Amino acid sequence: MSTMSENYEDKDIEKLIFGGGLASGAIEPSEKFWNRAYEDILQRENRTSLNHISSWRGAFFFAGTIALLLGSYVIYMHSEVSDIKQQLTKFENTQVNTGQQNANQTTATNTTEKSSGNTILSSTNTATTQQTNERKAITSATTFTGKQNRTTSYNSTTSSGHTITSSAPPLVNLASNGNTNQSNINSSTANLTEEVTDVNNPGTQETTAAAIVSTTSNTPLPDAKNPTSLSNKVAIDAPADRTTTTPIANIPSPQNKLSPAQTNKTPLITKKTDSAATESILDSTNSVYTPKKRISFAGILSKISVSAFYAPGATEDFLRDKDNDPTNTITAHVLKTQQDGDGTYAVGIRLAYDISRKWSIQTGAYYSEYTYNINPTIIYPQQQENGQIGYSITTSSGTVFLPNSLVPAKLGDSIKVRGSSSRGYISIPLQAKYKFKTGAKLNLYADGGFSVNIAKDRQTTIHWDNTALQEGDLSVESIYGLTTVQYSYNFGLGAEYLMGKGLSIYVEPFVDGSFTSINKNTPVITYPYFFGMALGITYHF
Amino acid sequence: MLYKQFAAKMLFVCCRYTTNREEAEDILQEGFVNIFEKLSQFKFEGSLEGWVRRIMVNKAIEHYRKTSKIFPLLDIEDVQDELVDVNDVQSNIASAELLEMIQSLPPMYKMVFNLYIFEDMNHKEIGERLGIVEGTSKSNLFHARMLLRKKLNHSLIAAKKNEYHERKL
Repeated sequence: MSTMSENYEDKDIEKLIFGGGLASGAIEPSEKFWNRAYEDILQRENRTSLNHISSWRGAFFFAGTIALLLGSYVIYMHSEVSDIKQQLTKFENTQVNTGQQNANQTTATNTTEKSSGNTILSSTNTATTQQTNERKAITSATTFTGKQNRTTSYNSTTSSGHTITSSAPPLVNLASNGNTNQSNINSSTANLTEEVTDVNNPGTQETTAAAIVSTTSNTPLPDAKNPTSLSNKVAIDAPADRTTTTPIANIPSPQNKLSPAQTNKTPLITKKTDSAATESILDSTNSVYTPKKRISFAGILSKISVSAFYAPGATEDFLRDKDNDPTNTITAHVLKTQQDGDGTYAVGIRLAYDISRKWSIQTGAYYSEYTYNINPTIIYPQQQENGQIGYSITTSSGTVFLPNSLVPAKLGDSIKVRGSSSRGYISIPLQAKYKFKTGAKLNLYADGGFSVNIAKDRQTTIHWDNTALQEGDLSVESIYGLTTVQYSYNFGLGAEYLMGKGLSIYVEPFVDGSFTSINKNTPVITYPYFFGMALGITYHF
Repeated sequence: MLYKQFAAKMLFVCCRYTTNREEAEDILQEGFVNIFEKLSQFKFEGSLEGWVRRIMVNKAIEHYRKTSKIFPLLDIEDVQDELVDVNDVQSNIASAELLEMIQSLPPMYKMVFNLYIFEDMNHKEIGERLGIVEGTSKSNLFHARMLLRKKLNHSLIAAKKNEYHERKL
């Protein structure tokens, strides 16, 4: 026979006593319990339905926002396209009218100059006419004694294998002298140098033309010794690349026609005689030539912009139990009921560098503060790590220990606390920005990237009271478990309105979400999300 | 399904931690709410019943911490280290009576006794869960045993007296 007194500390005795009856017993719950259980099930189902509705509502809101943005963009694009179409139609009408005028005037000029015994080359906007004129100009062995008129048009390719490239103005008076033709080109806006090469006889048909373009003003002739005065070039190249970028030609008015003396002043510029100068001209005047990119401080500065912004918003914590241990008294669910988010904001500066017309990279620094209300909660003292008994509040940021000196604690007692807790971060973002719509006044863009967030401020302010009618306020500036550095991603859609003088304002809804938790060694792991609306002003250097 | 499967068993567990049935049903109800919320977290690594039971015990501890405002004081002068025959206990005392004995223990003793005996926790774990030091847990267990032993002896004596009277009659 064994007794408890023989094995006093052996818990198996109690198991032996109670094991049969108390370890695996069962008691049927009362009717009241089942009624409550049924109500609970109904409430749960209703809540689930509401959650579904809430989710759908959120999805519809999001889809509606996207649709609204897209719709705005489509309308904006439609209006832009309409404007372009109108301009194009207007331009085409102008072109047609000008072409008809040219044709009439060319006919008149041909008649006049044929009668004077000169060879006259004319061209209209049409490729056929131009081809004829060029062929006449190149293959002609006749010495010019008079004037030779030729007009060129934009982007025309002749079937004879010539390319004429120029951004220069309209009328070209070409003086040809055997296989080598040189003309002075002069216009109200630019001077023109033209090289004409006969593909059929490239060795001999090299012409540098400095033609004087007739205008209403008598602009001086370009000086061959001062090639920088020539700012445009017409080139007739190999057959494979025959385009003309010369604008629509204007037939000179009689008072602007060159006198024979002026016409006979050729050659003014000869590539063979002054090749260095000509190359310099080519470099500086060729419209298809791409200028060398020079890195200068002013160039870099012009791509930089600086912004200041303020972003009110709301925050939402995604909470997760650290180890899914159901025996934990502090769980994500409990925390959600104990606290709710309060006002949140971010303020800072942003630097952007334009790496292309559409793309920019951004960085900067901003301060953000997240504040939570702690709902009235009853807490009980616990033994702390230092062995003392004390109160502590678990928040989504971490654990806040209340000092014994301010809140006396003893086992079995409890206090009710309420207040707020906040944490502040200094963040350094690195983002890419893409302008998917650039306009004269309005830019639409999207940006996104990552941020390094450094915890700066942390403060918990509470009011407490207990059953002994004691109460007090205190502020604690440490949160146990809150990590110092945390990383987040962010993205947003924005609209920028250009006000002029380098200033613009913008509005940008954005989301900043954590991909690392903000705390460790806490029963609940927190991933905060910040939904903000940035309002900022930008200065473009 | 969960209600039907575990309600009766878990109510018995809850009763050990409380003083009456209504209180136990409250805990049971809260425990089931917790179970439904955490059901997705159950990873089928252990028995479902064990998992449910742990939640119920946890709720019981939480309930105790919310309701127990006064640290229990014990007057053990009248508690004597009396001998109890295990065979007599098993044969003469019904489980309902044993349950009542446990329920009648002071809250702190009851908690420590249950966690130590039925949940196989050591004093360190009990101290962490109840917010007490290890020594306090040991002391409470000792006092709980003394009280139970006394109650058992009284019950046995009463049972034997009844048996004696029945034979005499």
